[in-house]
Amino acid sequence: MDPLEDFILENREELDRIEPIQKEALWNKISKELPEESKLNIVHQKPSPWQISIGRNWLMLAAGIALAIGVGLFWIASDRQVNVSDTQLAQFSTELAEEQARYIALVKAKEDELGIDELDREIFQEVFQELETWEEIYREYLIDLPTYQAKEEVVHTLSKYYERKIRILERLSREMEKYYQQEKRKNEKRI
Amino acid sequence: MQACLRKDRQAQKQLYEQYVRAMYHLAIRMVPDASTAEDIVQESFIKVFQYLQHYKGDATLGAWIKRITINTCLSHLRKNDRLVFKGDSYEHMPVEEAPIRPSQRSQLPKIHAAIKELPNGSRTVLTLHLLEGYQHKEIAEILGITVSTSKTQYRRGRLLLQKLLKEKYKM
Repeated sequence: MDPLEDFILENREELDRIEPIQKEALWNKISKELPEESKLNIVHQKPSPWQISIGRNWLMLAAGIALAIGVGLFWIASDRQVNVSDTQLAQFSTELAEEQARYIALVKAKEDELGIDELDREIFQEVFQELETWEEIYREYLIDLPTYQAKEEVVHTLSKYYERKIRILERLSREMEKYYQQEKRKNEKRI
Repeated sequence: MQACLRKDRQAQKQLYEQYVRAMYHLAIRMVPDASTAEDIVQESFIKVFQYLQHYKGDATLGAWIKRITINTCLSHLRKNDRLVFKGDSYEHMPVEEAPIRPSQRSQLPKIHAAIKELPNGSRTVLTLHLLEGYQHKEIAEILGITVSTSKTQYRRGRLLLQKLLKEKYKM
């Protein structure tokens, strides 16, 4: 790296503040091209559990209520500091419990491999921020779960959460490798 | 992000506010014309909102959005036959001179202006490698060139940038 490259990298963010932008005018153009706000939100569009025919869906309804109570109690007990991985979604079925256990093991293995508890969160702030955002989204899913009619939807939501979490952890691994290589280069330079 | 997926206009605007500067500056460095860069940002944001449901978390959301912008820029450059990688051989390589040593932030607008004046090929590679952090292997895949061409174009861009900053911008 020559001094010019170093200077550019040191001031990288400033380089994105040089050109004037007509932000509002540009947004107006963009928003005109976007489709209208969706009124078909999958979760909220579904009939409430009370509208579901009890004769046909009593089992799912009962499971939904049990889950809502379980999640609610767990949430209250932990003063809303829910660790999503530990949430007992298994109440839905043994199949779901096995699926969840498999994912939890995968996530745990990945977290152990990365030594996540000892990492400096400041350095990898962006990835940790995303992990937190994803946990928040998942907590919203949990609130909506009792309104899900089919077990497949629960499984799908669960898989989606863990798969995304594993991908984020894999990215953290790449970021860590990149960071340690950069540090190594810096040290070599100093020597 | 959830709200954006529901096409909540307020949430979409928040996402826009968060990334518009970075996207616009990326676009204007790759396609150095303000009006075209605006069109590219507009087109890119429409794609972002359209495909947000397919974002899998393999990269940060910012990196994913930037990649969409890069692809839109490249498609524009290719459509206009402006993505040419000239002067690949070392005979055409500018001479290495004493490096300039910028030290003040007030010099950044000059650097930005000089980057915009580089030839399309080396400017694209320099932008992707130095400013966006892509490795030469990734750049080669994105641009459909060899890793060696990417490295040569980068070196050429870096030397031309030094030359421009010294001669035209008196740094």
